[in-house]
Amino acid sequence: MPARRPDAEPDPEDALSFPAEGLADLQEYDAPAEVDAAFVTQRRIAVGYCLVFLLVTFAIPVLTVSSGWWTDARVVGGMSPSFLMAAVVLYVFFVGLGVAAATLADGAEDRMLGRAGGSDREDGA
Amino acid sequence: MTRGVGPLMAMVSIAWGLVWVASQVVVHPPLPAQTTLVVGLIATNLAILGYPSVLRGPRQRRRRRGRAEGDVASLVRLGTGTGALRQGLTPEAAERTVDLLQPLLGGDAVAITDREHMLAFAGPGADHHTPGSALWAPERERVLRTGRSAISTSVVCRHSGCPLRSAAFAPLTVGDEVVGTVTVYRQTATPPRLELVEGVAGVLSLHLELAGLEAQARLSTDTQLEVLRAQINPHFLFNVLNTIASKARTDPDETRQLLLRLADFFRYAIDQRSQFAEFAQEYFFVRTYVTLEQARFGDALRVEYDVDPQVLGVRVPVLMIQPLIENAIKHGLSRKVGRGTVTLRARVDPLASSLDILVRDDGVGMDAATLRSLRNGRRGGTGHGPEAFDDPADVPPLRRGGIGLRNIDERLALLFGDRYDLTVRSRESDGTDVRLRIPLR
Amino acid sequence: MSAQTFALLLVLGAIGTLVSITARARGRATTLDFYLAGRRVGTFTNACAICGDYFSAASFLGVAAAVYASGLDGVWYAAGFAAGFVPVLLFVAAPLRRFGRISLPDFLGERFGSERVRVTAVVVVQLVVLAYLVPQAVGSGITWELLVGRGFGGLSPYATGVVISAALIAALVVIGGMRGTTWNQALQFVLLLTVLLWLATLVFSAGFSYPSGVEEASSSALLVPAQDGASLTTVPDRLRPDREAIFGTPGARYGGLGQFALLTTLMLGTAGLPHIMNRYFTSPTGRSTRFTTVWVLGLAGAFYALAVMLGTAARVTIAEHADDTAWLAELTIDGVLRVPEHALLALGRIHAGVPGLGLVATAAFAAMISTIGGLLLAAAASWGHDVYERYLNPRATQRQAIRAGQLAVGVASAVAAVIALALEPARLSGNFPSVVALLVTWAFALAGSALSPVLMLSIWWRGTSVNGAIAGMSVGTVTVLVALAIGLLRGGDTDDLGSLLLAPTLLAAPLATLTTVVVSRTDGPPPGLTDVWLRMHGTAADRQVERFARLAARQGRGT
Repeated sequence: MPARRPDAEPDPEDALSFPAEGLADLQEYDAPAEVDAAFVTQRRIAVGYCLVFLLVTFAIPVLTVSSGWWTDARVVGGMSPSFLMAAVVLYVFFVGLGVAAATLADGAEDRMLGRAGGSDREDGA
Repeated sequence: MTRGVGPLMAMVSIAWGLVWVASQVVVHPPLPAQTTLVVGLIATNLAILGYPSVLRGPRQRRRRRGRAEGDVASLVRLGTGTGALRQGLTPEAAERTVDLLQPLLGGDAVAITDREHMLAFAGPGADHHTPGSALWAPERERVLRTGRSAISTSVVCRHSGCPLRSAAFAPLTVGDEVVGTVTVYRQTATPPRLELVEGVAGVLSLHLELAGLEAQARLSTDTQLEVLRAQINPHFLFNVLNTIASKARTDPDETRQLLLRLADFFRYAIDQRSQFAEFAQEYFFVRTYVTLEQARFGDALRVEYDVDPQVLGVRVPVLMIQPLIENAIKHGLSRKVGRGTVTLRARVDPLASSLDILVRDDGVGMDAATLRSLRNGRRGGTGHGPEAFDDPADVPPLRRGGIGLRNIDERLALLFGDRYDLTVRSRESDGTDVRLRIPLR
Repeated sequence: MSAQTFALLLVLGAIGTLVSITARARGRATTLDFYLAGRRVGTFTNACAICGDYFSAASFLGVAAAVYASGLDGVWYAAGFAAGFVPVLLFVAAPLRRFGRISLPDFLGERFGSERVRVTAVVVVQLVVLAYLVPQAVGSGITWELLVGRGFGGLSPYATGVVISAALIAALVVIGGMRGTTWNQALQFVLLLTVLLWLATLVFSAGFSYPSGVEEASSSALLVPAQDGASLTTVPDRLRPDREAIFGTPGARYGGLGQFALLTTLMLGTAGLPHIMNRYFTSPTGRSTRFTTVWVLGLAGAFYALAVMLGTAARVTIAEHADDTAWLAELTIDGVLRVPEHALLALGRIHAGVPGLGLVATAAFAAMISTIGGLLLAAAASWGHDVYERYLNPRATQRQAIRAGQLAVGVASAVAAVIALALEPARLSGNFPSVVALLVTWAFALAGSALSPVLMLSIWWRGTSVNGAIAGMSVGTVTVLVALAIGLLRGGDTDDLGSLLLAPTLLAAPLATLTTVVVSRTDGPPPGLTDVWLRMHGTAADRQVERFARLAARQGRGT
């Protein structure tokens, strides 16, 4: 079905307009082709970040097995890089990765599928 | 270019600084130079690789324009021009449409049906697949039931000389309802491409929806008002307009706000085409309504919401919660002295797979007789409806409690059969509880 | 234990339970804030609720126990549990919510337009729920054993704990009206986090330094209770077999393969946990699920970092205090706890006396209650909505629906209790320290191999077919069960292969994925995919909701 997106929601603040097409105005639609394009982009984003995630997460056991320095060196007190990574740094990494992935995905969605009449970031209550 | 290079240089320098600190300063024993170099190089290269794509943002995929889209585009153009199905799903319109479609869809024959009969057929086999004949393909029944398209590689038609071998069926939908099907047949065993047929069905469905909207618009305004009246008490409208009028001179800003709310309110109410809406939408509709009522009652009305966020995505019958709130405000509070509170509580009950809605007011309540008559569902006499009375308190008790709830009860019975619960509990001067349980969807 | 302390503990326990069930958020416009007052407030609440469901006895007691018993290898549990939400964020959260169903079997059934897929998914979901319930019951048994130390009705303390918790929680759900509402779960989690923070504060103010603690714990070989239960022994470092394992370096429990196996199992499992994924269906929009998950990652990270620290502190502190404290001496052999799950509880008692123990125990019970409740509700919902009302009794009345749900709750808790009773951990501890964490791993293995691969494929690959989905789920389930059986019969995770068999996702998930792909090619995708794709990956519904939310935001300012 062809897309029907209100390109500019009539600003209710200026005129008390009851738009003639107001009946259909409340429905939001997506076009299959656009959704397809967005889907492919999202998949690429997801796979990309997943690779980064796997790389870092699996690097830990790999380093554990292969590198003596990873387990023997001491960074602070008795904590080896291995310990520090698994006990603290990894969680920070997860959050950072999550924020990056979520922001990118949200942004891609906004750009490719549109926002109903502007961002709701402006409406803080 | 200058803008790009600076931050990259900074990033690389920081990366090297971190690598040095991490490997030489902090760690005991420090990493050998070779490893440090390797790690630093990896970090630098990653920064260089990643930087441009961060700047650029996600790539936009060029849309592949396939043959299917081209055909559909031309069909849309044709369709808009002649607008065959804009008259609705009639045999004549269907005839014109199949004639249009037949050369375009890469098949040998095309058929359009409604839910019970063949409406039009074009192509080989037209001699026995006549308009008005009964539907014979089992796949078509499935399509009509589930609303999903289907393919068959071996069509079985009772007529012996039928040349058709394979087919693709796609549903024609208006809103949520499947009103018919469009089918493309082939004389070979390879069925036609389903995406193409689905695309065409989509376009035709759109025409049908437009037809429906136009028909609605052509309906007399009386009918529309009737629809309105059935769902919204015009008494409410008069009161709001009165309030607005009284504020117009003293507080033009609020007047404007109220009028806008009123517009939102009616837009939502009129636009409902399907039987269900997400709770979130109904919830906002209720809030719009409450804003309007609060303009009138001011401090005397307080509405509290105790809605579990889990409820927001559940589908509920449309325009069902606002009347409950309206009842609570009207019956419970308009006669009460002092402040009245209405509470809307909504919870999901996973154990019973139900949605639990409670509307409570602490108003005047109902006496036992009214309650009993409500439960027995007796109609409150003929003649004037409640809007004929200026003060809702003057409405005879039976009618006061009755109509809105009965309406809701009937709708629920139609939608859910046995699987719902609507209970009213009330005591004089002790308020009323209306509790609704509907299955989760 | 004196009668007074018992009474005190009961009171504390009652308070905790009461808080968890009856807490209600009051106030106007709370749900409006959900959408609007800076998106964060609303997504934060949902994130807390998800955490409340997620953090069970395994996370609270089990992670610290694993760290206590195995040092760095135990930290994998924490890392893996937290990591599990990354695949959820990347692959599952938003499309799942957008499709708009109620449960995982519901989703899969609609996605493929097939009842067979739905039924298969229901079976797997019930298995996963059961697998997750058992360690919770075990955890309650252990906690009761430590807390009360007395059994009733001729049962051992452990057995009493299991039976009471299973019966109590089932009763709470069925009769008491516990429904796992968002607010309750969120509060539950806040309580948990608070207790951890409080414990951490105590530990630090008593002079514990994390880096030196690790150093001290690693200064000599790691000592664990021996098979005979009466002495301590060291453990070979499986990564460097010529050495003995120490606390701060990996290798105490897992060799190279084992490390991977555990990490993979935990990582993939979260996306297939029914009671967690059900919470995703209840976000207001698909979009909001993303940042909800980011919040979950943050909260989970903080939680697990604390748990690991406390596990380390337990190692050091308990060894220090074991000799001069009577009650501690009973629980330990030469300064090392016999049952590692006692670690946090003991820590609480060391630093804050019996009230401290009570508080930690209350939090543990709260975690168990909320998770068990969530699991039972997920099982009941799946049974009621996906099976009972669709097949057994399509004309069910309200009352019949309720009865069906109650029955499901009863059966699930009974079966879980029976299995937990059969697993007296004292006998297992020799082979399997931190048994709770281990059992939860099995649940994760099942979820991660039977559900996650099929779920992710059905969202991101159009070619997934009905038969492919069913085959994938079946193969995943069977592989995990067979691997577990073989692993147990072989005698546990004494070697790499054993570790792999007991955390078999590394085997089962690729197998399930391959099966799905191969079988899907044979029968082709289900028709009507355009519509499905629009719903899952299009944002029309989200935009609709946001538009309404914005309308209401303007109202909020007006009033």
